[in-house]
Amino acid sequence: MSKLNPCEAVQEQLSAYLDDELTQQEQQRIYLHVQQCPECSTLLQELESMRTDVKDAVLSSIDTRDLPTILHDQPARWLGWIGWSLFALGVLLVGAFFAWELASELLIGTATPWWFRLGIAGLYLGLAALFLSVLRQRIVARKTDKYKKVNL
Amino acid sequence: MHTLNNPYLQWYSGGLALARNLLGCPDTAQDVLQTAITKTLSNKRMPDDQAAQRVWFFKVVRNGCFDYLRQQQKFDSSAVPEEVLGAAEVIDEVEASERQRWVRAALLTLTVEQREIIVLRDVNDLSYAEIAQVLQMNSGTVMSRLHRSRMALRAALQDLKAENGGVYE
Repeated sequence: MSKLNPCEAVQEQLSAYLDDELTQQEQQRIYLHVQQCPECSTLLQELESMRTDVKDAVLSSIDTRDLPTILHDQPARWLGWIGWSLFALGVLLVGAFFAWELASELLIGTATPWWFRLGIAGLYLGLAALFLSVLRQRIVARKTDKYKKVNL
Repeated sequence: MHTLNNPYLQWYSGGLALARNLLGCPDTAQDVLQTAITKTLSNKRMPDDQAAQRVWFFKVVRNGCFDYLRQQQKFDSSAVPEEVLGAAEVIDEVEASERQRWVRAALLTLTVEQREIIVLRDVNDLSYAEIAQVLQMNSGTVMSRLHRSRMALRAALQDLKAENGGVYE
């Protein structure tokens, strides 16, 4: 068969040759033929450029729109980071001022009876402790959450 | 970014390419892929090496697509693409380069079998043996079918070129 029409037999295998899927011997045979046959070598080149075109064409249509690019938007990330730090700073300053005021009020202010001052202190400290306990639970849960990194 | 650690997410776009080419509709393709990834992640008895996992993953994606098509009663291996595809591809036109549009248009004229084998090989770089496993055929058939599909794609490209006055190359 290959004696009668070598090109036809070679062209059948050009795809596999291009993909490097032939045995070494066959690969060699095709290589030798392609070297001296302009028709087959043109076809090979065409197939090769088509292969890369297909990859680009199919993949580009996917990457550009479907992957969550919004999540990797750098400016938004920086803004988010700055926003959270400012917020934390504000909370710390205001909280410290409030705590200071409250403490000095409760310790120094003798106008109210001592049990009432103790009650107010207990109220605030209790709330803070409750908040901390919930916060701790959340953080622990977050650390041990096995689905956290599953980004589907 | 942690997605790179997970092999299935690394194959995400390739799997999506396959699903899209089988289904035509980008949204459904994403649904199918989502289900496939969930299945793969929740499967306890996965093969150990990555190559086998990849074959497994593409099998799941492909089966998912066919299940969907069967559900839709549209599974008729020759007639699936065009009717659904029209709408989806209009969006693509905007950002694709001229050349890529040609290739994509040509791909659409092929049959589902031809398209899936081309996507598996050229987009996802599966070896013939792996494609044979995914498509459940022997690798000799893969070789000849892939070649015929590529020749069909080439012919389709040439047709487009003739119709539109040779913009492609």
